[in-house]
Amino acid sequence: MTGFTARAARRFLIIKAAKEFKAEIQQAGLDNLKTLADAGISILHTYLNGLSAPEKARKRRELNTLLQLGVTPDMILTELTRQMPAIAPIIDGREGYKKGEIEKLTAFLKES
Amino acid sequence: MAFMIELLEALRTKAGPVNTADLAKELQASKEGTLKQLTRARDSGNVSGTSQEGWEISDAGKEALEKGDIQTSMIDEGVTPRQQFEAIGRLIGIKQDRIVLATNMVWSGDYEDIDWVAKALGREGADLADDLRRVWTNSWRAKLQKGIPPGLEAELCGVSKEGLQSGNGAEPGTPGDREYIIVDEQPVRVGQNLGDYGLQDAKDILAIRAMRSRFNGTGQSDKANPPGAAEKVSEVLAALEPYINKGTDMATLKEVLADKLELQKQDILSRIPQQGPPAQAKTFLEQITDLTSILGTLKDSGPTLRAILGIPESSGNPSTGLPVRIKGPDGEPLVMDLGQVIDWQRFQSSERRADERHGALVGLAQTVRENVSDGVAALKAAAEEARPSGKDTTSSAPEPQVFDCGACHVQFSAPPEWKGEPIKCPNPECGREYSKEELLA
Repeated sequence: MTGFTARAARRFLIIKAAKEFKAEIQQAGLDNLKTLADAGISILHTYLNGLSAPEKARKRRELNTLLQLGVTPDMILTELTRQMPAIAPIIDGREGYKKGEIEKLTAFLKES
Repeated sequence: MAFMIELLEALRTKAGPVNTADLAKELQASKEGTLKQLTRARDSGNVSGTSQEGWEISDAGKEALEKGDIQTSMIDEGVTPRQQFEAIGRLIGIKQDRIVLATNMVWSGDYEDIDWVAKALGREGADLADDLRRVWTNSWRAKLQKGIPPGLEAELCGVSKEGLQSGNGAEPGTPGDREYIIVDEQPVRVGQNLGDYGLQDAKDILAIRAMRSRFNGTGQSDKANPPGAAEKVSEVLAALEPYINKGTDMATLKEVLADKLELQKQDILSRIPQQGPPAQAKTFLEQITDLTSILGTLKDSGPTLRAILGIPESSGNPSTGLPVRIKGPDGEPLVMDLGQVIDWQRFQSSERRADERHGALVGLAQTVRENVSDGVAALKAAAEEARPSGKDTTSSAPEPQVFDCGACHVQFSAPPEWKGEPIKCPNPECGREYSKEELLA
């Protein structure tokens, strides 16, 4: 795969992954997420913990595949912010919140 | 059981006198008929009473019933000559009022005299069409087992008198003559063109009847059997009846009869169980082996069989011409040629494949439609990254090129937006200047 094609493919995967998160966020309701963020509770941690065991395994598998293809959690969150500007104040507006979320996601991927 | 016995049985179960209407209702008979039978039974002393007082069985009637000494008459059984005559009329399709009128006319004279019957039915008052009158008279004559009177030959046989006189009819003794009638299972000659059958036809019919009665005899011993040969023979007779009665060409009749009899013979032979010790049951493998050998033989003798049977050589599909039963689109069974069925199945398969391909294409198009916007966005982003001024967020920025001074081995890098101008070693003690070619080398 040429550099441009690989980059386009990676971009495509980022967009699709962000879209999935966007759909989940819309289902949960942005106001609820804001409340969680205000209370200092990790949104991703809450969401991932709420999944069933098979769902958790599936998500982990998908995200690890993305990671192997060069798609990092940071990229997905950036794309998510681009797709949902309303979430930007939650992620980028709080000191260290984004970093904390990425750490939570990385920890989730490392769970066995 | 005869109606009279049923009547007496019904009366015996009653404690008191019974009304005629109630009795008729119980016996599911007409009131008039029941009254007639009661009157008859009263005359013979088996019943007492009247319509007004009601009816009771007498002691003599009880005794006769117990002894089984009840004599039934033709009238009891409903088969009097008059009723038979009327039944023939009904069978022919004559209206009931005309039947009654014509029967009254016939019964005003000697109803066993065919000349008189023909004459009575031909009267203006009877108002019967000529063909119906001829059929009725002829049927009654056959019922009475009488020959055609000489004066009625032309009318009943449908042959003109001139034709008879000039000898246009069949020669005497030829198979086409109808000289015989059947009386008491024997052919009786009644004169040229005065009978129903030729001699050979009469013999054939008697032979069939004999066979029928024989099978009827065996059938009685085993009534649980399904319809067998006797019924089949009856079917033959029923099938031949129109040909026999309507003066069909004898050659045709014989041909039909021979065909029918041959079919029945094969059917009967197939029903006769084979004699001899029962063969040992073959295993499935043996049966398959036998079948294979038979098929091989058939294959070898195929051309010969085709030649004998007059089947033309098949040029294309060998399965063409074999009828098979399939279920149609509406669920109803259809019989089709095997070749056509194969073509139909092939057509259905190709249609199914085309449908599946179409479905896959539609699914693919749907997927493309759903993802095309994301793909375009991904391509745009990738193009943006690939641009030199673009900010690549997916990969780390290229590190600035580092050079190693050949004199003092101090490392240094080119300034940002270096265009190839000479660079001096940053070590103040060295200060050596390198050209672009030296640096890149």
